[in-house]
Amino acid sequence: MKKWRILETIEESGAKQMAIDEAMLIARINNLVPNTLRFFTWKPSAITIGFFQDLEQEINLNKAKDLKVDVIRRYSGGGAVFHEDELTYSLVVSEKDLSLNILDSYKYLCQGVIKGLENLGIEAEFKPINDILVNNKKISGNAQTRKEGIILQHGTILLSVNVEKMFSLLKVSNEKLKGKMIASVKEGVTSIKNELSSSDLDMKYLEKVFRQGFSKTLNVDFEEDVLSEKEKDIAQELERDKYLSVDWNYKQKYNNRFYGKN
Amino acid sequence: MNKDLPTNLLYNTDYSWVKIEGDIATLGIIKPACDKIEEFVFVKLPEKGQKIKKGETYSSLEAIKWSGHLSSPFTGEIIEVNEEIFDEPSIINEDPYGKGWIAKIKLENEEEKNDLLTSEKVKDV
Repeated sequence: MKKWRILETIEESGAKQMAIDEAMLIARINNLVPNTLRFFTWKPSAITIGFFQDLEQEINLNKAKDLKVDVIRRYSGGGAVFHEDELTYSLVVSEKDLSLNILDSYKYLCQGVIKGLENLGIEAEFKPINDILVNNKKISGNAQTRKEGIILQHGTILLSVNVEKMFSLLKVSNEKLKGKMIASVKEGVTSIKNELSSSDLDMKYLEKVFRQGFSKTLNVDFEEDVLSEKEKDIAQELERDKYLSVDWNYKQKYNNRFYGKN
Repeated sequence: MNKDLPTNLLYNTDYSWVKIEGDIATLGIIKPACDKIEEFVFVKLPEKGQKIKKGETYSSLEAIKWSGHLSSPFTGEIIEVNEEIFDEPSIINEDPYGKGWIAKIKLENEEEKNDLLTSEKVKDV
């Protein structure tokens, strides 16, 4: 069986988590590390936006400040996501090792989450492009980006959902629609706690079932490891210079058109 | 062997094509990838006059079913940028080897092209 790396689960700020994900991607591009899975949680809660989104258009920034919710732009594409009571996973994988066509990787990599949910007794299915549903309700959203033949995929596994808090933080263009949207999201989203009718989840147990889910569906053995020194250095630099910076998080809309002159 | 690719171009491992004329390289995205990932919706471009090193990101793109960052296969200077695709990214889908080109780089070291793939070495998308 192929051997991949699994890293220790950490609870950290969104800036640090996003910096670690990109550092893992860079290290994998340079062939310094094997394919890798890790799980993590967010402290404080955070909203992330997709690479091309406009922070001020997507997020009620005053509210985020009041509620001490971090805001961070991701390196991956897609939309705005509120991260609070969830288990998040990241996978960094070489396309070569998957031998799939360009569209099948989402479905293939998401099978690990689906299998993990099944281990918990929750029947879930993949919904293209990148969602996982339980009885037609979303329980996991996933985002990807690629560079030099390496895929970074990260995704949420919802433990619980606070729709009111989420909508107080995310901007809805039409205030009148807000009530309707809250109602429809409540209808359309579920969580592990909701499905299991339990508020008491053991995180170590959850990690184990999802790790098994990925191991089984990807047909790999995970070897426990830590970030390499090189990854730590890259992550530290990215956290400080990129993911904590106003330029990256806020000003993208002003310089979105171009990568600047060196 | 990828029979859908033009044989007169070279290829990188990230679904991009490279056309070399003298010491100028034009870069873009290959058609089989464009067809599968559907319409491009966002593009970030390099800047004309920008110096770039091999391996640095020169463009980031998001399509309906894909998102990614393109690394420069060359060290050199960005001498032209296709700004039309910024306003209308779907031009890339419509004419990937023509009007949908992304940028032109003046090469400093032509030997770097030896790291690129010929069409028969590119895997199916």
